[in-house]
Amino acid sequence: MTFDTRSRQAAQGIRRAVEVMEMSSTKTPPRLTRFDRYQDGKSRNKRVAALTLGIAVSVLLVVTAVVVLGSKQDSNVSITSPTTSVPPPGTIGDSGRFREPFTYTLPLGWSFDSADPGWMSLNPPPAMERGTSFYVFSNMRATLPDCSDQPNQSVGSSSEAMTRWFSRHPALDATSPRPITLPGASGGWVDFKLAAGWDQSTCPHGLPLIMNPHGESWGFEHNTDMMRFYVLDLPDGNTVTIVVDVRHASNFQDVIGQVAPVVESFDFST
Amino acid sequence: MLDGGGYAAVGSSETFEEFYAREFPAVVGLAFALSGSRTASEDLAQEAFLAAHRDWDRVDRPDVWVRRVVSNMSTSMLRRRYAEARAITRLAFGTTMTMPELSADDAEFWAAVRSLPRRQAQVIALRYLDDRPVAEIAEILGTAEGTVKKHLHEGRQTIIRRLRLEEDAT
Repeated sequence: MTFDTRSRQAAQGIRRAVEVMEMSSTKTPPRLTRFDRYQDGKSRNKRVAALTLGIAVSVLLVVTAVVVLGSKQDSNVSITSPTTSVPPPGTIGDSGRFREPFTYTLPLGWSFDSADPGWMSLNPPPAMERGTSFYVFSNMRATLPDCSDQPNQSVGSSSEAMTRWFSRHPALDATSPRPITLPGASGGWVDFKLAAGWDQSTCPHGLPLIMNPHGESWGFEHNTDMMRFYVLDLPDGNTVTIVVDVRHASNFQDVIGQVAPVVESFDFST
Repeated sequence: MLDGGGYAAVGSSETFEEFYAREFPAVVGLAFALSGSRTASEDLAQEAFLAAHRDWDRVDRPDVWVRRVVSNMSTSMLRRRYAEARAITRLAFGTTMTMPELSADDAEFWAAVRSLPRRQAQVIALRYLDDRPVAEIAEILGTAEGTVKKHLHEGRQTIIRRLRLEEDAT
């Protein structure tokens, strides 16, 4: 059999599979309605999140008022009030199947998404800017700056080496590395976006920045993105890279203001 | 704008709904061929259309654009795995559709395509599944026509060897 014959048959196989998928959707809404529902679902999630947030704020205000009134009534009895009596907001989560175990505190609206030994993702609340991604990767290395999806052997895997590389990456407009210390891990972080003068035609399909030991890379796919990489050194010699990928750089500081407390709640000492 | 290569150029008066209805089957098929994931392909296509919807007023050639996005997402392992994880989650709640399995021969052919270097796989899928002419593939992938021809040739030769196919008469 020739290549053309085989490829035509294989293409027909895909087209038939798509047709069957479409036909099997008769019990569900047709595709246009389905997309509307897809959009509606996102809108509904936002409304639910806003409603939930509103209820939570109301409850918090009531609780605060009760505590304040209570402390005023008790002020003659005791001048100290144990702050630990107020439970922390959100929920404590674990890292699931991720290679490096840790816990974290999720604010209201956040949720655990998925994990495997090499990566883990958390879902920001729907109300947060659409397109924001939050990932945790294990043992990532820097890639070459030439779009080739190859590891950059001249850059070490430590937090210091990685953050220094990204702060000087020729395609990036980046901040200087800043330190971060968490229970059981320490390292640095750096913010960056594509440099205005960088010729994007050299990497028309996105700029790989980091890759795992299996050759899977992560990087810029949208030139409006702005990212923060936290690279953490762990006592066992492994590293953890936390990626906050914000679709539009203009919203970056707002998003980071909400995301940074989640990162700062990571506890690798457990 | 391209000369079209037999494809109707997207007119400025076309609504997103019309565009979506026409292009979705082809784009989800492209995602399926390149990702190999029956559960993630719809999600990958939806993500591409969602991005097109968001930038609808600014995208000059949405048919080219969604193919570029889905080609890149479908061959990016991490993106694909993320889409698959979300699709499986939705599958658990009965809110997504799944492709039927391909025949063994068809599955073998597309697995061979996916084993090619990323750009060769994209070129082969766009040419032989999506029937895109070389000029349009170059537009979709943002590369030169000569580069597309080179990837087509190399990809074809590799698959011919791996699947023990005969050379086509030219």
